[in-house]
Amino acid sequence: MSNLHFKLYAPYRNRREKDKNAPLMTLVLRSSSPAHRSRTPEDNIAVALDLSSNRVLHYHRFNKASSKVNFPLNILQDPKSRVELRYDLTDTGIWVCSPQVPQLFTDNFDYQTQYDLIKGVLINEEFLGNQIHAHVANSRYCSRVYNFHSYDVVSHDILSRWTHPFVPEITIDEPSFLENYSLLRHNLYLHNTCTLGKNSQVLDCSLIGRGTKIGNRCKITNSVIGNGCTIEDDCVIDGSYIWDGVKIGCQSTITKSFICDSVQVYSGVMVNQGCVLCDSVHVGPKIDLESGTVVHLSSTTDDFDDGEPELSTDFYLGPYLHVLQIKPYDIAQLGDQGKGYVWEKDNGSETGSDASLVLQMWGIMFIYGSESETSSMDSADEDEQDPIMDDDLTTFQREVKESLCGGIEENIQSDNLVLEINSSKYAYNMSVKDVVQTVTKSLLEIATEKTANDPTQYFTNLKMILTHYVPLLLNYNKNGSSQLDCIYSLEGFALNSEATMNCLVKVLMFLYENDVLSEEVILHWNSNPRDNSGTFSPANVREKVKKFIEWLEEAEEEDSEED
Amino acid sequence: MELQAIIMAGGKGSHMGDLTDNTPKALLPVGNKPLIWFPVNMLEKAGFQDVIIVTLNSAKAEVEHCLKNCKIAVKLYGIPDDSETDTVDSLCLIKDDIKSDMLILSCDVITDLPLHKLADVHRLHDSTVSMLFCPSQPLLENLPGVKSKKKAQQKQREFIGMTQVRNFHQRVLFLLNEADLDDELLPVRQALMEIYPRIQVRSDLHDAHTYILKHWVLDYIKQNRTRSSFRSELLPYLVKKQFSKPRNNTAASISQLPDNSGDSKEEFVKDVTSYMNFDDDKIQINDLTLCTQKSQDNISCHGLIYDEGVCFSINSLSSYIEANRYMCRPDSIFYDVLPRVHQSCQLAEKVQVGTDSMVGERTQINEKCSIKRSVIGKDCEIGTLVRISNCVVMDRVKISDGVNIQGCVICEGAIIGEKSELKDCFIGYQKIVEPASKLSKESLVESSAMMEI
Repeated sequence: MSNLHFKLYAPYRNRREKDKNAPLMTLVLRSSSPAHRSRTPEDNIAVALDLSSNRVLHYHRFNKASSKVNFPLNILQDPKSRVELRYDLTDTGIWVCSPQVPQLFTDNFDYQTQYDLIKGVLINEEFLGNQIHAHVANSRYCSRVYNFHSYDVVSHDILSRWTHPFVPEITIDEPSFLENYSLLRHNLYLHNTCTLGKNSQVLDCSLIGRGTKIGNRCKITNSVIGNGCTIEDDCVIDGSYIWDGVKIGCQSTITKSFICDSVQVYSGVMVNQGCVLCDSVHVGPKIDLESGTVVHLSSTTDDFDDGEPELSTDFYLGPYLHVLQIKPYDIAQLGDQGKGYVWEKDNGSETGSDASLVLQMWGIMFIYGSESETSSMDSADEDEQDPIMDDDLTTFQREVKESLCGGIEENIQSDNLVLEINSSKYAYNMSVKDVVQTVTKSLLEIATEKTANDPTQYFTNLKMILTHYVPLLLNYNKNGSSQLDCIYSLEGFALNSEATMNCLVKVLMFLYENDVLSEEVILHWNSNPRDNSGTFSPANVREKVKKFIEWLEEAEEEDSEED
Repeated sequence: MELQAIIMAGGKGSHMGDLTDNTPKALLPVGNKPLIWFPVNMLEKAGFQDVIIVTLNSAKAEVEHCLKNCKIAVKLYGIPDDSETDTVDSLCLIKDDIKSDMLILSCDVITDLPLHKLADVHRLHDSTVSMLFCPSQPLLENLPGVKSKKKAQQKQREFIGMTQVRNFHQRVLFLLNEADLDDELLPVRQALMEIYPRIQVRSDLHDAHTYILKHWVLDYIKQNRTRSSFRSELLPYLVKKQFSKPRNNTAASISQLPDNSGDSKEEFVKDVTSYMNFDDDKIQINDLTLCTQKSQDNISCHGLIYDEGVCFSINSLSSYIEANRYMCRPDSIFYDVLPRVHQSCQLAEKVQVGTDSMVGERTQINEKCSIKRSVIGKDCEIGTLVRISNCVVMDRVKISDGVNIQGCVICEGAIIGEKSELKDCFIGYQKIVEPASKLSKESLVESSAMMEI
């Protein structure tokens, strides 16, 4: 959403004329202070700019809150250039690109997104000579809609007319546009065909669309109500977005929520902060929707493609649509006449937590207090952990686990999996130690997940998995130190998992028999307990495996006697 | 009195190599004036009535001697030559004489900065430390006595992070030394960027060793003696502490401690911010004004970048030569102050001394000599047919007949034999150059003092 002047092509063209190849593209960045409400933690960037040429020297995109940004020193190589680190910029998503840009995407198949491209170009700047420039827009409006929060902010800005000439009374679909909406004080937009009942109030930044009927004694604040809606008596609507054709029964309260086309809300329903009601859902009567509930209605025949395109991928709901089965509507949560399913948050998986983050952000103002900043500064003093490394490690772990999981399902040869894991290892620059630990942990996790319902079957399953991967384990546990890593991570996992703990002896025995772990390593591990904080004390582990160790020691003695 | 001026002249000049083998840094001649004269002169011009100078015991008498003509009241403190007394220790030594905020200068600063500019920064922002930054001079390529260009070692870069406050002054956000950074990465905290979203990183500036410091810092260092160097320890600490929260629990935790823990524990617990004293009047004034900014309740460090004038920091052979050359130039700010050719000199006939040269007191120059772009010290004897260009010649040097020297630094008491030809050489204290020797890029110094410059 932007009303920028597109004059920025001129400096770009000048640069291109001076030098044919170097200036690759110009990013349009909008300056907005860190506390600006249009900013969300999802879209923070820190940019190092050369003040004289406006060249982008470093571009860091925060994918999550991290305490430090690391700027490479080579951007400061030239003492004459003035470098400024800026955190008050947001990416507008407008880029002026040279014809080489599509070519670069073709040549470098690992560039998945534009951010990969920027990163790649900046890293290879010395070799390839490509440069990226920035155009900082200091005036006019420009903002992107990429989550609920920004939807809310941009919509509010449109109603407040920051985006002039793109304001609600100028609509393209109606021929005599200017006459259709009446603009009242405090940014109220009422369509001429809408009707308002007795004693109903519409306050502060609201819009009511064509043919919408509002009953008596309603109160509507900071909300957008679409075309052809019917809102009965005594409703309170605050900070919400209601699309077309929605019917809301009397005495309902809707706070900071999102209601899509043709939804029916029966009377006496309370929709709390952060709810999303998808297309054609019915809710009520007389029910409280918990804050953050997402209700959807999708038949099993609908898969990714149909359903609600507006909501699916853009708002992170897409991947969950296929999980649905034919089942009765969630009447308990949605009321007797409810039609729809409550979307369960899947906290376990990565995207699930992402989506819940988005939902949490909806309607919440981000407060930048000096208190929290300074305290975070203090804690940052002690915080030595490198967040970027950490991130790599988790992605690596996830990838390895996925590979191993797929390996069992599709019965892939261990050799091929070794290749796959090794390529991940290089991609994320992991050490051998990390790989060994990750592989061990992943295998145990897979077994745990498979037998989540029936812990008694745990070892049977684990044994099956381990048997399948004996060649792989042998490959990674060739020397003593790897084996030590393996056994310690096994211990670490067992400390937090009772099922594993119970069959630890069997696992050790299995690994010993298959030559994955040697006798010396097991004995060394046994005599050198590492301090692992978990639900069980390391001593407990030693107790569990005592018999096995004794047996091993005896066997060794016998061996030496024979010699 | 608002500011107490202090000159730190106790440095031994460890970065200057052979130049300071026999002369304390404060007494090195620049334009035939000892280095210490320049900061004292600046203070005098700024209207200071008195100054405290901390110097080495061995140099005390000489410093006193060379400043006897100054109008300013000089109070000298000596520190033992061999001890490890650093700048912060020196401050502790003179603490009883300091009643106000301090203006701390190093003896190696030569600048024409009007000092009130720095004081303005200090007053306007009520800053804990105000410091002066100057553009770094590039190192001279052709250093006397240094053989290859490679040897001119790359100076450690320092990254100064600053942001503009009120459109014209700079707040110092971080001081980082290249050597302290891991993996070629410059870490910047996100929380810092949230407060100051525009940070300029400068590596083209150097700290001109001129600071204005709040008085309460003295109370802090009196108690905490762990940091002994102002420049490399205390200052970075203060800069870093700017953004940490004052620990208010200190008083409580002290009272909870059992009495037998003693004083040492109490000192340990006390945070640096607890030494700040709050001026009630100031807080009240702040509350009455429309100023939205909260009254300054934390440490703040501000900087002034002085790039329109002259600023030398004499901390290397290169900058020493630069400063000497500058003094000779007709556009030098000291052109009127420093005598070109002293009246007591004895110049024979047909001697050419360029307007871009200086000759010190009682120096004798014999016939047919030519001196260009050079500084000649006091009591030198220069024979006939001597050619000197681009040189720094210190006091009591004897140059025999027919000598040709270019681009050299010749230390006190050296003797150059007849018909020698020296180019880009460094001749140490009281060294003797054999007659008719031809040297280029050589360094003649005491063997024990063979140090890298």
